[in-house]
Amino acid sequence: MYMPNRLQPPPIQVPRTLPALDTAPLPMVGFVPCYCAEGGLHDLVRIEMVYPAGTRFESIPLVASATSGMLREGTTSFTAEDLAAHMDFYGAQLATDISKDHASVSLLVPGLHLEKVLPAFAEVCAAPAFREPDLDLFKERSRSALEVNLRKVEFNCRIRFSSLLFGGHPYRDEVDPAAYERLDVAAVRNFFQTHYRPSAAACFIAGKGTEQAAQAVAAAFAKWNSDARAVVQSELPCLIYRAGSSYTAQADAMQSAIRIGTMAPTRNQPDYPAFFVMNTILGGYFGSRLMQNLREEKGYTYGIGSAVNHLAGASYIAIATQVGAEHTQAALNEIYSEVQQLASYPVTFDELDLVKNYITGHLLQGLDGPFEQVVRLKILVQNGLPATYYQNLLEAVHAITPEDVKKAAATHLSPDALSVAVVGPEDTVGNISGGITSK
Amino acid sequence: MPNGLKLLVQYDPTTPMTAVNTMYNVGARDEDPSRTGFAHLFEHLMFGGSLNIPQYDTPLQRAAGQNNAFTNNDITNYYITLPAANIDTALWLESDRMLSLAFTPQSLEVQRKVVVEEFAQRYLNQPYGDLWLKLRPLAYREHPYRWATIGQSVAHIEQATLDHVKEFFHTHYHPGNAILAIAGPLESQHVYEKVLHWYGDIPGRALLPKSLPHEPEQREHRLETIHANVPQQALHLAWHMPGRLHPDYPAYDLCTDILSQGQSARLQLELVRKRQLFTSINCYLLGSIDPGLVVVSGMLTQGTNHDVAKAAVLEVLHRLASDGCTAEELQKVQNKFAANHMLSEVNVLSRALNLAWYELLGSADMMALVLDEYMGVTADQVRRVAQRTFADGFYSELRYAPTAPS
Repeated sequence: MYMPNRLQPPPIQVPRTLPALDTAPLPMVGFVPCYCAEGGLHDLVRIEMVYPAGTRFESIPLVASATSGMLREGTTSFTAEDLAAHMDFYGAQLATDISKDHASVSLLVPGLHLEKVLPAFAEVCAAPAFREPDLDLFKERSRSALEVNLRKVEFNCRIRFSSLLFGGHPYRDEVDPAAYERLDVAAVRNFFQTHYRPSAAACFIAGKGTEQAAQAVAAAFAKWNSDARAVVQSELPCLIYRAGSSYTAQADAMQSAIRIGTMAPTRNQPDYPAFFVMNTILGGYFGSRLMQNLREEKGYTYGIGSAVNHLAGASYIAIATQVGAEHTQAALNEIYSEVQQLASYPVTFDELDLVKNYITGHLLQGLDGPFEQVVRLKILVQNGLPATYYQNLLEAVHAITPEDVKKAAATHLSPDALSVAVVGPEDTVGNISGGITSK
Repeated sequence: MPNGLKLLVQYDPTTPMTAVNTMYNVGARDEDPSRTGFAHLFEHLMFGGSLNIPQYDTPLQRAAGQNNAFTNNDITNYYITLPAANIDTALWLESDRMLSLAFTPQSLEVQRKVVVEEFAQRYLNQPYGDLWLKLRPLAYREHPYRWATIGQSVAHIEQATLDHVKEFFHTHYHPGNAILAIAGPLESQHVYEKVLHWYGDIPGRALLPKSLPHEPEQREHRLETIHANVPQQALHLAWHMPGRLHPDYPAYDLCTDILSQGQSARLQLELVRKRQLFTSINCYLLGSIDPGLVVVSGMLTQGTNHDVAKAAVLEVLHRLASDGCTAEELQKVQNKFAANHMLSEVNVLSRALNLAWYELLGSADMMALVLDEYMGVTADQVRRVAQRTFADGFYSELRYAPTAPS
């Protein structure tokens, strides 16, 4: 009979080596640097063109996201309908994405059909049409989606929190539905001309046959490579952060959304590994202190987490949750208390070792297969980090001591450095005592 | 395996990670109508400690693993990814909670609260969040698909007792009602021996045949209007269709793709771009095991009324039912399906999940055949399913109308 020993955990092994990434661009593709993550069992390839055209570069509200979104709405030789039909026919997915720093256009396609759709993809990146009727539809669609979001406490809280951190800075979020009314084709064209320059682009290729794909990309983009446009200087203004709080009532809300956070070390700062480990312990995984306390012990929430977010010119940590309205004050108290605990007492070796192992698995998973690897590769290239960055990070994580964790929390998460935003029902947010209390 | 557990292994030497996917053949459709939401609540309790292991998550995280689970109307699925060398940790944890849970009252009490907050967060505290709480009971009158996985109401969750939990475990959580699928760089014989070691002593229990009520044919048009604090009018239409194993299922799926997948699909072109009656519209099916629904969901542009919008949708659907689709349209959605099919097999986790799902449907071999099935669909089949579905005017209609802002 089978007699497994169920009382004793099986022995474990935790790998200490991560797959290597190649941060050098392919040498042969002249104009646009191509970075590749090769692999996969299937004949799929993903090509992504990235431009320094994120929301921080806009001087007219929403023009950056409108420009990005409008790239899929037709080119000089394809109407929006024809472009969609062409891509769909070859099973290709054309997508646009925008963050605060970058805008990108990506193509996911069976390798078999790559050459069929590349010319149209190149046109999307280099010769979009920006036709007025399409812009009108885009504006209506986006405004409608924004109106829905504005009814969600979670969304409103994110926006309030963002303005506490980035108010007045190009990293702020723009959420006025009326701003769509003021957008016109000229503004979009102008933003495109200025910020989607071929000479500023980078190309990331993942999947099977990436080198061949890079050659094909070079050929398809060849005719668009002349770039006589002037380089725009857009220095990021210095960010002066002062902690603040924002309590906002929202009618009919059943839950309160809470966000608490502050500025954090950037990836290349020496205390980043300790901060990263500290964040994981605090709210970075299911076993985290916040999750165990607010969800698994008290049942205040379906979930709570904290994350370190990185922008080109700033990094910040945000703790986020939605709690039953009646638990708002208690949840705030518990969050502050957990932060204070981390800053006051060293973690046990047991908890720290567990988190180090968890982080190892998380990094391994994030480097498993070409489509995951390319996400990490992009981070390295965009931030000028070395190919060995993740391996170095893993080693640094394993060297962290309980004192390092305590110091990271004490240095960066002191109560007067934390900003807090709460959006919830009126009777709840009106009663938050003194904003900040701690146990 | 002798105790009824089914094991599927997929060998993939290209990854250091292994996925361990455990699928139980129990979902919201198996619930007592007076205790809805129970399968999902139970899923939460599966993380509250088992017979010999006080905490589920801790040892897994220590073994560099990640995990989660989901419940839908048909199944409950638990999944783990971790470095292949630590597969024993995953099997130890999964086999112990298949053997027996700890059944602590504290776990039940806390998870009831957590699920009530999940109910609020996902279904009640956002615009249109209650769609499935309203549309399911409108479209289904008898079949348990009439309630959503989260449950019919918060009260049902609050009333759950530990006795209900034990009874549910005993009925649904045993080897014969489970499928274990493992994908990663491990040879199948090696995996088989490990699974035998960890699961071999779990007693098999009799599998009770499912006897779910049959949904009677819908013979009328049903309409419900929800007046709510939403920013925009919305329209949802639902027609009955056959279950997942019906030979026409791929044709139904491609029919909905022709109508709305991608910006070049019919509903998008006609109603969003040309007539501008909707800001967005989508046609999709619920891929449920028992007879499901074809659903059209759209957000109306400002100033459009529901009657006009609905008539325009029906016009597009009826045209497909009467004239069928072009060869090019069909090829487009088939190509798209092939690409998506490939994409769904990119990582070990989705492959393990797919293996378990097709085995639960009948045979894991279907995973290899499904592409051929979709490629074999003809334009005439698409026209016929459209005709059968949309022609008679018997469907459920749910409208959202904004109340004046408060």
